[in-house]
Amino acid sequence: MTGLNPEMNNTRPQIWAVGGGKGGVGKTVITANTAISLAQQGKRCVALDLDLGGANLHTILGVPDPDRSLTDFLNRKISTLAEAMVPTPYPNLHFISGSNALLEMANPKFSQKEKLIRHITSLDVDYVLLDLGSGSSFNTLDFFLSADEGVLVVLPEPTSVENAYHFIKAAFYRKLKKATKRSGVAEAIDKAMEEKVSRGIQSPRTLINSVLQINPEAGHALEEEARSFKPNIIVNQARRHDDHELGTDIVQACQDYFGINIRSIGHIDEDDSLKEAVRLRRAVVDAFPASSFASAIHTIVKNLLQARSDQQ
Amino acid sequence: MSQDTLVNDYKLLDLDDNATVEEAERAYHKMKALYAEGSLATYSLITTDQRDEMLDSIERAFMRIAREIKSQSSTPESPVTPDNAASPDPLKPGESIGAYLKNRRENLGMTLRDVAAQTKIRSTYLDHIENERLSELPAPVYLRGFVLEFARVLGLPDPESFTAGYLELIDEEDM
Repeated sequence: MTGLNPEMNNTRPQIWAVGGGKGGVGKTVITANTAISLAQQGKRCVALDLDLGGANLHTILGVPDPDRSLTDFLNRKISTLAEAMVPTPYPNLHFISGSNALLEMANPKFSQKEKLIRHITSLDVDYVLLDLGSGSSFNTLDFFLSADEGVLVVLPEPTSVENAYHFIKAAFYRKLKKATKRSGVAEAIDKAMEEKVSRGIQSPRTLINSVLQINPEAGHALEEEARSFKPNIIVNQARRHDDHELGTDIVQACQDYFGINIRSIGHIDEDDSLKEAVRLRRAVVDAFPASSFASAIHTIVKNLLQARSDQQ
Repeated sequence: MSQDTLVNDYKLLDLDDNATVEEAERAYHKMKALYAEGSLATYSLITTDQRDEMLDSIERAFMRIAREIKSQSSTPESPVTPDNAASPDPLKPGESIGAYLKNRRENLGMTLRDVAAQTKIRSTYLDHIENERLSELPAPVYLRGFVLEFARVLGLPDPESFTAGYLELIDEEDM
């Protein structure tokens, strides 16, 4: 790095959220290894498990069943989220277990979610990594949207790609909906959405165009929102050379059909060292630093850091 | 052609105003592959109608851009560009259908690898198709798609009936 530390300009931590429609695409492994890669560079990090269905980030990080979790924070057993942080075997990296908390939080009150996000942003660390659950529930979308960098993991298979598009669209609409709270845009969106459904059009770009016709001011506000929506995409478990181009292909297709700019930040080839590392209960970047998986993770981290400094 | 359309054409293929023919060709092939039937990135994104419409727009955009670049360049005979090349001669009676594909491909200055990259079909299969090595070809259900893509990439005027013609070859062999 060239001394461009985003956290130097900013007292609050940078939040990176890792999600991606489908389960089993490697979100947790990527979150854990990304966090370790950052920690290895001397950044103080916290990995937070927000996976509702299968919370197993602690296993990948080699943390025994933690005695404190998000539940304690939400139940007010502890007053700050920072108290739920437990150390990991990796220097600079802490962990917050979400295990049971999110089952109870399946439909958390808006205020609870806001409080959690507020506490996340006030943690005294440089980076917070969120391991999101699969699916496109409002919870997942809200945490994804609250992050400074949202990362989508996709596999080179039709169902996963389909889910990724679904997720991108859902997150985008959610973002627009939230933005409309402060202006009179909501009506225009609802009206355009109604027309959209009846005409069977399914693209954010056409939505914005219809809103522009109904209410130009609202339309411009939406265009502004669209510009600030820049999720990142990673292709995991690439097997063939073609798979390496899937990321940039999706970027192009999103631009053409959604009018949304996403960013392709890397691909990870299938790598046996992954299974080996899980068996050893160690993270790949730590156990097999020379593996293709580890170098892919470092590249992804580099690209995400670069993305931040480009924006500043 | 109105400037407006041309601006959109360049935008569609993501090209700079001063793009060369080669750059335009590359962008064109890339977009065709991205929106080809069965493309992983767009398979679940758009309907068949949208896909056809997109491929059509790409085709027309490229033709207009190629014409524009040619008219600007001083050399009257610019290199041949795939779909700007003279439309292919029809298949002559008695001409081998595989050799016809091969001729057309070579006239376009494309290698088997170029076609493989665009169609995502392995070049060994393309080679078998060109040489009509019937015993090496995949089952007709796959072969149909392979030949169709091949014919499309070569810009044959009626890929469907061409493919039907190719498949007849196999039926004859079976009899």
